[in-house]
Amino acid sequence: MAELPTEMEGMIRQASCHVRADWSSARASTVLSQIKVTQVRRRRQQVAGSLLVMICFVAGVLLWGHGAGKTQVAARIEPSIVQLTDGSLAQALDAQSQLQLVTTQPDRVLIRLRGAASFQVQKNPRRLYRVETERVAVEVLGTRFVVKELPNHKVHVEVSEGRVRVLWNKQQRELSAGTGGDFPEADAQPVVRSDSSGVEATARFEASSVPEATSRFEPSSALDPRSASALPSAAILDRPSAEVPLPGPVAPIRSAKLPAPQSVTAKLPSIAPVKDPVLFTESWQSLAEQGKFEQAYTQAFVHGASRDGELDPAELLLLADVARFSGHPSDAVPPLQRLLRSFPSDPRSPLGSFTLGRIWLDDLGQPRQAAASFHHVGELDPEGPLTQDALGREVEAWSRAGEQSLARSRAEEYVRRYPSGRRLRSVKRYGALD
Amino acid sequence: MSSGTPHLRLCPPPGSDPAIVTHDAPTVSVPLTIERLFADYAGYVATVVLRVLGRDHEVDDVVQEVFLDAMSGLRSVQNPAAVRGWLKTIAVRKACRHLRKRKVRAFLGLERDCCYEHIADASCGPEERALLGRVYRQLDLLPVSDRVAWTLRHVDGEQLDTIATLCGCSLATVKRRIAAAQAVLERRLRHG
Repeated sequence: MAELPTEMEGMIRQASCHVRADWSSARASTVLSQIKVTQVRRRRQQVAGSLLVMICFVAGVLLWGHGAGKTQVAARIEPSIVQLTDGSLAQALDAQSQLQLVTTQPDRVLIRLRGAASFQVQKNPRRLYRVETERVAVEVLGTRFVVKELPNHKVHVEVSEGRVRVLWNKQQRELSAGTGGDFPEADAQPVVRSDSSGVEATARFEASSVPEATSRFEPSSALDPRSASALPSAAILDRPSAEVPLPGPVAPIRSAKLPAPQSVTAKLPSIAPVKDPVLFTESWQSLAEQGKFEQAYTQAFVHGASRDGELDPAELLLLADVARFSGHPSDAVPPLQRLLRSFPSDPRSPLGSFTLGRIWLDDLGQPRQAAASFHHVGELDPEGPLTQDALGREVEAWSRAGEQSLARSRAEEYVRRYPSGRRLRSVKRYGALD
Repeated sequence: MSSGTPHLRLCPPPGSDPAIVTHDAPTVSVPLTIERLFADYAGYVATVVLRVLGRDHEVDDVVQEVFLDAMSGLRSVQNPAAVRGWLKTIAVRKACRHLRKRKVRAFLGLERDCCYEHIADASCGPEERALLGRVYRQLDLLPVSDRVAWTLRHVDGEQLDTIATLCGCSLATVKRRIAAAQAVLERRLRHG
C-alpha cells in the first residue's frame, strides 16, 4: 500500500491529535434532553403509525363488508317494521300483525310474518328476499306487494310491482304486477285479468283442436273434487304457459348455498327450497342453443322459466325442441299448439304444424291428431315447401288410424298434385293405390 | 459499508489514542442506563463522529442518533466492556449515512462550503490547522466509503482489521479503499 510522504503523513497524524469534540457538560445535557424528546416523538410516531395501519385495516374490512353485503344490515327492526339499509321496507298493515327478521345474510333475507304486511323490496338479483307465513312462502326479486293471512288459513298475496313467487306444498306460482291470489291454491279462486282477449282464444283452441291438452290437467284437478272445475277454468282464463300448474309436483330443488333456518323449515316442511343458482345462471334459450336440452328442459318446464312473459314463434319452436330432444315429446305439444293458436299467419306456423304432426304420429302414437296437424300444414301454406311432405305423412297417418278411405282419397290427391313426388312410393303403399 | 442494525464487534483496547478520554468500562454490577452510557461515552462518540465528518455543527445530531440506536439495543448488551467498540461501530455507520446525505444535498446544491480550520482545538498550530482544512476539503471529494476508511486509518489511527470491523467489510476492501483515497489525496495535496 502506498503511503503518503512521510513528512505529510506525520503532520496529519500530529494534527489529527488536535481534532477532538468540544464536549462540555452543557452540550451533553442539551443532546441528552434532545435524545429523550426524540425518543418520545419516535414512540408517538410508532404508535400513530400502528394506529393508522389498524384504522386502515379496519376501514378496509368495513368497506369490504359494506360493499359485499350491504343489504344484510338491518337499518330498523320493530315488530311492525323491518327496513334494510338498501331501502327495502316491510311494514305491518295493522296493529295485530307482526314481522320477525329471521335471517339477514348478503344473499338471503328471511322475514316471518303473522298477519298482514306490505313489502317494498329493492331489486337485487344476488339476494333472495323471502317472506314466510304458516303455510306459504313468498320469494321476491324486487317488487312491491302485500301479504295477508286470512281467517280461513289462507294467505292473500297481491303484487303491485315486479314479480313474486309463491310457494306452498311443493307447488309454486309466479305472480306478476297487478295480479294476486289466495294460497294454498287447491281450491283457489282464479285470478281474473282485465285483458280477456287471450282468454277467448285459449278457450276456442282448447275446445276445438286439441282436447288432449286440457286432459293433461285433469289428474291434478281430480285430486280435489272441489277444484275439478276450478283448474280447467283457470287454464282457460289464464295464459296456459304462465299460470297453469305443470302436471305433477314441482321437483325439490337443491339448496346448498342457502340453507333455510331449522326453526323455519321445521314449521314449513313442504315449501320448495330455493332454486339452484347454477341452473339459473343461464336462460333456457341459451342452454337450448348450446345443445343442453336436459338443463334447458329443467329450467323451462320444471322451474317454469318458460312461463315468464310472452314467447315469440321462434321461442315456442325452440321450447318444443327442448321438450322433444330432452325426451319429453308430450311437453312439446303445448308450445306448438300455442304457436298455431297465437301466430297462425306467421311463416313458421306450417313448420310448427308439421312438427306437431310428427310428434303425434311418431312419438305419441296419436295418428288422428297427427293427420289433423299434417292437414293443417296445407291449410296454412298450400304451396309451401312442407306441403308435399305433410300430405304424404297425412296419408300415412290416416292409414295408421285405420281410416283407409281417407288415406286413399288423400293419396290420390298426392298423386294428382305430385305425380313424381319424393313420397310417391310410400303414399301409394299407405293409400293402397298399388 | 453497510448501514444495518449495529452489532457488538471486537475492537482494540482503549488507550491507544491520547486524544480520546477513556473511561473505565461499566461494571456488571452497575445496570446500563442510557444516562450512564451517555455520561461515559458521549464525548468519545462525539470525537469519533467529528473526525469522520469534519464539521462540528453536525456532531450533535449524529451523536443523538447513535444513542437513540444504542437505547434500542441496550438490553442485548452482555459484556459491558464491549460497549465502547459497539458505540464506535454505531457512530461510524451513522456518520457514513450522514456523509451520504451530505453528498446528496451537495449534488442538489443545498450544501454550503464549510470551513474546516476550526475543527482542531486551540492548542493546534496554524500550519497544522491549515493542513487539516486542506485534507478535509479534499476528503469531501472522495467517495464516502474511501473517505471513512482513510479517516479511520490516518486521522483516528485505527488498525486495519478494526477498520474492517467498523466498516463491515473485508480487510482487503479496507486496504483498497484506503489506497484509493490516499492516491487521490497525495496527488491533490502535492499539487494543491
